[in-house]
Amino acid sequence: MTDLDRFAKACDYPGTLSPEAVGRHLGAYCEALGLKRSVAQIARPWWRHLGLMEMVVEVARAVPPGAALAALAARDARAARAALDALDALDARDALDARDARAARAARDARDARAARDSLAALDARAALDARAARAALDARAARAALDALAALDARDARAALAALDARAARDARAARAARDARDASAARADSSYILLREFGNWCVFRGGWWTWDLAYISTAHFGAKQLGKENVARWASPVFEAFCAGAWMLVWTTDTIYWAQKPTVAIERGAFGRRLHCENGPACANEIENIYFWHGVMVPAYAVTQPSWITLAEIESEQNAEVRRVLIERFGWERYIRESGATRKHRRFNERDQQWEELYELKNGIRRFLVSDPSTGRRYALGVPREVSTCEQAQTYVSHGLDKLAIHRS
Amino acid sequence: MTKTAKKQLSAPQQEAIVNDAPKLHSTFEVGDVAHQGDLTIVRIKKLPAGAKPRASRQLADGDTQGSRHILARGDVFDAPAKQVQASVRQATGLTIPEQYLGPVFVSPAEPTADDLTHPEHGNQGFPAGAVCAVVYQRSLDAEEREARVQD
Repeated sequence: MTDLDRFAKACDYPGTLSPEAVGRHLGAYCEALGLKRSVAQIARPWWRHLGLMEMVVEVARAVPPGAALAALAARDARAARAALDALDALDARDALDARDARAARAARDARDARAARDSLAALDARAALDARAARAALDARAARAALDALAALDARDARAALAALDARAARDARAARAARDARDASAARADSSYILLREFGNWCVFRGGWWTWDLAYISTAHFGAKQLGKENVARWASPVFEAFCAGAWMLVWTTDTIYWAQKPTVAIERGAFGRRLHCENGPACANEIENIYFWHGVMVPAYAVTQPSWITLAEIESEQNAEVRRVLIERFGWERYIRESGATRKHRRFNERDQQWEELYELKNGIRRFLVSDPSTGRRYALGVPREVSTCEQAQTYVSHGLDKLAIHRS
Repeated sequence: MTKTAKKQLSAPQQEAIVNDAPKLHSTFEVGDVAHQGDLTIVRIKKLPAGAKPRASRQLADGDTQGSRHILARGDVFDAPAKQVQASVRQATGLTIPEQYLGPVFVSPAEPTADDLTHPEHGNQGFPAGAVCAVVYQRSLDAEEREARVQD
């Protein structure tokens, strides 16, 4: 079996796992980099690993009073809520309250600073060995071929796992919101700080993202190094490749340890759309750090999949992402959403061009929602429009800045 | 479609509406507009003077797995928002707020129906050399703050 065959096979997750072999190869990796690190496998729950917990606590300590640390200290549900909202602000497009935004930025900076410090030695060592050679190895045709295989081979779970991390990184406040809503469960209400720390920690541990420490990516340097005959690169890239083949998925660096997580189990569905993450009764990317849930390709809070009865109108209305809001409404039930939100229909029309009905509703609080179906997928969306909008045509004009009137095609 | 037929379109039937066939626009004049999901494409007269090649071929940052508007063929550029805004105004007469303007792309010399791709919405292609601006939709959130529609 060629190395490329082994790589392709290793991209089927979770595949085989040999912790002993992973440990050995990652030890060789550190040695090649000239770094002293112990090697440890991350096992659930990750916070039992002292080094990881220390890292999270250090980041939490850097957060200004009033945000995460205050919540942890006070063990107060309201403080926890405030802290979680601050975390939400990290990716919010609209600036929230300035204090929260500052706190969130500080938290992110603290996390990134810690991440940078912990992995800097490895990055420096890797670069110092031969930066240009390393880059050349990753750019080499053989490495590109491996990456292309990873991207193109529809059967490979590595691709789906990358997508899960991609989505997770893009919305790293998602879990925080899940925790916030878990307050409805009595057990969670009793220990909100525990949930806060866990979710905050998930966010810290997943900090690097696949682009930095996902082994499916890093190990492709092995192919480039071989093709170009770059010994310096091969010294560290080959052990990484072997660790990947032995079942390692991603790395988390701390000052004295290199932690590794085994490959996740991914659940996907296939269709005309190709393949996407989806699981109706559990996580679509189950892993040792944080399970990630997807509903037909849309990353959603865990309860939206496992406990849809927990979905509330307030959660739906506060959801910023149109696609996630759509899924929440679907899981909540469109008819129930209209009924319980006290919405009254203000206008309805048949859109001849798009061959679909459109509806304009006013919610109890006066907010207006424009219900429109996507002509490609048939999915229904509820888009917020100004209160002065009174017809579906006006709603389309508002949403499209007036361009819809000039549109000759919609897919 | 008759009025009766329209009325018979119940919610489940609406769900069945599908228009995801790839489409190569035989004509797409300056000022013409096409939608691909939440993305709006506007043909403008020419490439803005300050346009610079862009590495990413993804036309909209989204965080939903699988929902990527990718220009598979052709060239993508970042251009100063004010210039794109002026180009769109010149083409359509409409002034789009700068925060809703995305990259600009140029259709390839030999266009196909699969130049602008998306895993769920129908792929599209535009006439050779057509310069198109990307405009994002907007909506109000629960606090009635205006924001870009993202999926």
